[in-house]
Parts: sequence; C-alpha cells; structure tokens
Amino acid sequence: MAYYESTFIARQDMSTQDVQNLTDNYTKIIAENGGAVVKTEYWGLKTLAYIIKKNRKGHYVMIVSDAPYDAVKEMERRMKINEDILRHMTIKVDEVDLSPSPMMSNNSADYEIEGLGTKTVIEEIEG
Amino acid sequence: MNRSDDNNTGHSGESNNSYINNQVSPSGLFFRRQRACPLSGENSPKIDYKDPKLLTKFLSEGGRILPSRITSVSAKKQRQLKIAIKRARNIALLPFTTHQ
Repeated sequence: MAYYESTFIARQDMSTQDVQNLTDNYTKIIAENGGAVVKTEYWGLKTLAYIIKKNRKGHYVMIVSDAPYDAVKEMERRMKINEDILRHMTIKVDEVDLSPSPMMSNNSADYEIEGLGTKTVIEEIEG
Repeated sequence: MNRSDDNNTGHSGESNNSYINNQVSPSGLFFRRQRACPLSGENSPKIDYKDPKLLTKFLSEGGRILPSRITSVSAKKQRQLKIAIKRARNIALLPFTTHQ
C-alpha cells in the first residue's frame, strides 16, 4: 500500500472540537477501507495567503496514511462534498517522515496559531 | 554610454562589466558557477511544500519564483522547488502574487 499525505483547510467558523470530529471521521473512513493512519497533525488556525471563499483564516489539518487507493479516493470524495472544507490536497509520497513536519516546529511570529495547541498522533505503520 | 542598461532593467545588483562581457552576474559576482547550490550537498534542507520559510527565500518580492541563474540552484532542485512552491500556493501557504 502507498503512503498518502492529505491536507485540508476547514472553515474558520468551526471550533477546534468540530475540526477534531471532522478529522476523526476521515481517519475512520481510511481505517474502514483497509488503510492505516500514520500521523495526524493540526497546524492551527492560520492566516491564508489569499482569501478563499471569503475566509481569511482556516484550520489546517494534515493526515498521513498508509492506505490503498480506494480508501483515499473515498476520503477525497467526502472532502469534496463537505461544505466545511475549503480546500484539500492529497499527494502520494514515497516515504514517510515520522517526526513533526516543519509547520509544527516553527515558533516564529509569522504564524498565528490560535488553536488548542499542537496535536500529533503518531501510530504504528502496519506491515 | 557603457551604463545604458536597457536590456537588463530587471536586475539591480549587476556590475557594470556585465553589459560589456554579456554575462549575467548577480550581486557583483563575476563567475556564478563557483557558487554552490544552496539545496544540494550535506546538511541541506529538504524541499517540502509544508515549509514556507524555506520556500520564500526563492521567491521574489512579488511572490514569483526566482530563476536559478539568480539563486544558483541546480536544475534538478529547481524542478523540485517549482513543484513544492506550486503545491504550497494551492494550499494557501504561499501567495500567488503580492502585487495589489
């Protein structure tokens, strides 16, 4: 199975608990379809570089998974339908880095991380 | 006379010799190929679309991707950089343009 990295931006009106529920939904979809979630990262409520659907900020979430294509396709389909998600992007990666991504380690003043803090759930890679 | 730079209006850091010798030399350096690619070699940072701090170093003030003859990036890394920047722009980590 291949490694996929999926990033999505949720609307700024949503609370962090709602975003967490959304993330759990998608991780469940992947698990149901035979995949395994390697890592989930919440980058916080960040200012967008440009206005998307009249939103200036958004909740960024990244899910790294080891899954067959069907699981990811189903997750993408749901993301497309969901109105709360402004934008999503899934890419296929060759290898997974288990350490936190550069977005989590930055403490510069450029970032406005107003979320409830950083949540990195790192699970075992199966197989 | 020698200083008429009607061909090179975009580059402010060039030496006066560049017009005579027909070479583009950023920041007054004569031979650019002596400067190493900042993204290759040991301890070089990995190109990742999630790292806007690294990527903004290779963007102009207006948010456009700088050519590799200015930044001395190798061709292979420039291609990876291009893909990473375009992905970051899609996810609104980098702007497409900052021009009003």
